[in-house]
Amino acid sequence: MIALPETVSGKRIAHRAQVASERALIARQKLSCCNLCAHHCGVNRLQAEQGPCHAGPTSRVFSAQIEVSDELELIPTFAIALSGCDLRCSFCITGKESWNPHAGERFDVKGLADQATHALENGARTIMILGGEPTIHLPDALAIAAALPDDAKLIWKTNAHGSAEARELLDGIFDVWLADYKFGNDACAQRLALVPHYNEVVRENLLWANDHSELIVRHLLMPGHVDCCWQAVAQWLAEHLPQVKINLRSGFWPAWQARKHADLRGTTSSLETERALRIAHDYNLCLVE
Amino acid sequence: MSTPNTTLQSAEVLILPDGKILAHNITPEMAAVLCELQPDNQGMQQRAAQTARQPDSNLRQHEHPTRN
Repeated sequence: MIALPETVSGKRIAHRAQVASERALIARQKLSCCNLCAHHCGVNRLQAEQGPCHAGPTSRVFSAQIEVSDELELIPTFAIALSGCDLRCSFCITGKESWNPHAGERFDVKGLADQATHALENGARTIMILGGEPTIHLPDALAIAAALPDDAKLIWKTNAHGSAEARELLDGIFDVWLADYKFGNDACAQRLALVPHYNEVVRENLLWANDHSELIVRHLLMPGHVDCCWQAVAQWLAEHLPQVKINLRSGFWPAWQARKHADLRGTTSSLETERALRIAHDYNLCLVE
Repeated sequence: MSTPNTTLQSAEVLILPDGKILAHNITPEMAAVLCELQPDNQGMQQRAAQTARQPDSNLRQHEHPTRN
């Protein structure tokens, strides 16, 4: 058991850069028996063993730029996208890079931190760390948090499939957790993302994130999944996180391997979007754009 | 085929047969273009108004080996 240098709950830590730097080292050690995501595969990534994400000891980045497509309160954001993910969503909009942790460029902490800092100085409001899935690259994600100004607003864009071990190391580092809740039932999650026990894991992460940081939940509306997925997600959020901000995204794009699934070969219809919005209204959800 | 001197910046747009436009990883520059295509899209107007300058090219990383 490794002692954490500092733990906090429900607030951003003081001296974030220093704490993040210390935790990055701890996270690096944990790659020898990786349990950063909820697959808990336990492989030794430092010895090139591969689990479901296929990630090794180092990270790569496939995009680093200012973007304005995220939530209005977060943009412009300087978004740093790390290659590789622990889920296998057939419809992943960045599947080529998200399914391949070897895609993109070497993760250069100083270069990326310089770009991010420059972006902040020129109008960016936030820095977003995303993927793929950044949880599987926790050592480098913490390393870049350590290289950024203490007052920078940091966003953790995640699939909410991390482990308790990962959450402990993330506590107090990121100001906002921007978390996906993709599937309202485990059958859809297993079929479309090859992930078991999805709802149990995601709900645990969302409840934790809401207690430990600001939380925004995203749901990508999928064609044919208004009832089985969105309705169930909306109901759970209304019951357990009634005040949380929710971004219901209707621009489903049949990307990557979506065409393998008959239900995902098109886009969401305007009728489906209208019905989804009615559900949100009925549950009195706090929608944001 | 890889293209030399490509930066890490990218955005993608999908235009559907009904004229609906989908986009992701929207940069400020792309938002301005989308506003031209959809002048009535208030949401995109809001996003395009959120401007920030991309890091200078000498701060960018080098070519993207997987982007064609």
